[in-house]
Amino acid sequence: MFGVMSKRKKFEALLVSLPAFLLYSFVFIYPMITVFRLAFFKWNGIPSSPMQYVGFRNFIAVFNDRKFMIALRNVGIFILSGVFLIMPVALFLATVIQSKIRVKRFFRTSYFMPQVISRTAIALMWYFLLYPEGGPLATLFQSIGLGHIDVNFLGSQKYAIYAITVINAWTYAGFNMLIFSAGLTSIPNEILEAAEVDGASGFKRFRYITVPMLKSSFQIFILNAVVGSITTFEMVYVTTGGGPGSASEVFGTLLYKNAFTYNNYGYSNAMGAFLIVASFVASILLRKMFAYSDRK
Amino acid sequence: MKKIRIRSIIFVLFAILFAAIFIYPIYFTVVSSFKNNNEIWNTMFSLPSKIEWSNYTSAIQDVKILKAVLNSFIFSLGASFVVVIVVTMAAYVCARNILKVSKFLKTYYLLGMMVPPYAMLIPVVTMFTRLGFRDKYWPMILLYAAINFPMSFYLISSYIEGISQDLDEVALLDGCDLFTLIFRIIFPIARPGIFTGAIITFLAVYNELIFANTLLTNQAMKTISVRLLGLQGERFTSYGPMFASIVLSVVPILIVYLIFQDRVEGGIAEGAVKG
Repeated sequence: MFGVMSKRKKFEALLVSLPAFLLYSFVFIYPMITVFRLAFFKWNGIPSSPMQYVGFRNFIAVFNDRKFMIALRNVGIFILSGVFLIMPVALFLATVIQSKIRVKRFFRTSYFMPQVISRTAIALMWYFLLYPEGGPLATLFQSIGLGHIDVNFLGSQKYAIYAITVINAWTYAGFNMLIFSAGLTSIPNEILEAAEVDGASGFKRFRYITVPMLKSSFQIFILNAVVGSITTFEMVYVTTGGGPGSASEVFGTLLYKNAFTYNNYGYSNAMGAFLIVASFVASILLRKMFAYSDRK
Repeated sequence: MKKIRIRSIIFVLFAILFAAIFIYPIYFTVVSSFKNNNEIWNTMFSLPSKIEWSNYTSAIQDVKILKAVLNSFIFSLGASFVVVIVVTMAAYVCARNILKVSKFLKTYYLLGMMVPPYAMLIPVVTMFTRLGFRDKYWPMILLYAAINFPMSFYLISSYIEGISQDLDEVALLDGCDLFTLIFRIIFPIARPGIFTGAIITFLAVYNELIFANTLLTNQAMKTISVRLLGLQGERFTSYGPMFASIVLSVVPILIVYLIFQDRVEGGIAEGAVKG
């Protein structure tokens, strides 16, 4: 029908598309291009002071930064925590909300609730939960004879990043539950019933039917976990700010601090450019890998 | 049979255990918001012996948390409104392939889903400073609409693609113009999809921190995330008002979530699948 559309209709369509195009181009794409341009300049952030072209020096500074390696390691820890902590939990939660359990809505709601709470509020809540003098976890540890352990994990060089991954898992488990839950609904009941008739145990049914049929859910999960870990920022910023010292630094906190603490805007833009490219490349590579393994 | 029963009991116990893990931090926050400073610590479950309403008066008068809640609501509603109008129009044109560039536009818009918005923080801050946009409602609303544009475009356009074109044809034959067609005919049918896009935007903006924290410096403009972040650094003689502030800023969004639960979960799941 639109093939025979008059010139006037096409003009109307153009008019109707314009606000979105302008908004997105000026407020999303234009700053994105600017990041790549400014990454080649040294600048202290003061509008009146000049920008100095420095070639690739900002990128060299980013990749030579000792903290970049810390951030890289922490991103790795985030990805691993996704696979070994969030994935099993989310999968279990998905089976709960797909089971015949009573008051299903209550379980579903309680698992998902953290997802809609502001990350800052979550950080405050956990700050109090982990409060060393009389906080709930300290009290719990006291009562089971672990009182000698310092529960101030967020303030510890060694454990801060792990504490954040736990808080992160608490926040995002419900979100990932939905990914697996969508996958579970697509498994036909007849297959599971047939296997049961054939005498396959619950575990065997799970291992040999459910897991293989959830393949695309696992792929979506991995994609979200990897890209989400590379670009993770808010959760770290609100809990430790990348500290203590630089122990829990991630790419986002480095971008933020170099701009607003050290006035090194060139570094931040180079980091921004790196982040955009890295999340792009990661998601395209993973998609290619998945497509390849699906064909096999 | 007995083996199966034991197994299902363990299953239910774990389901309950996880529910407790997710609910407990919220329970602790709510209970503590009604306690005086001495009662908060060294307990895990106990209820307050006397309800301390002063925590809430302090959260409202000293922390001014309700003003922050109001600001968050203004930004969220504003951005959702812009998204509904602007994205629906664009999504319709793309979903129906009306223009030759429709395919290109679709890829162009969805590109944004792969980009972490905060990577553009510095150019955005520079732009806002140069144009005098800081601490103003409208520029901030447009920024939030743009950040949430790709996701809502995806949700709304895939919904419109699922609607039959029969009505469009009848309307166009009747000489209806495109604007009327979109808002009189498509809008009511596509309302579930459009609404999902709006509610996802609403949630994201209500809780947004990074841009708000760098662009809103005036105390009267701050949103809940920025205000709560500020509390971390402030010295309090009592922690009660902090807990009360958390409760007052989280309860409104939890209500929104509970009312529109299926939309919220459906929209988030659909967005996640696209990745």
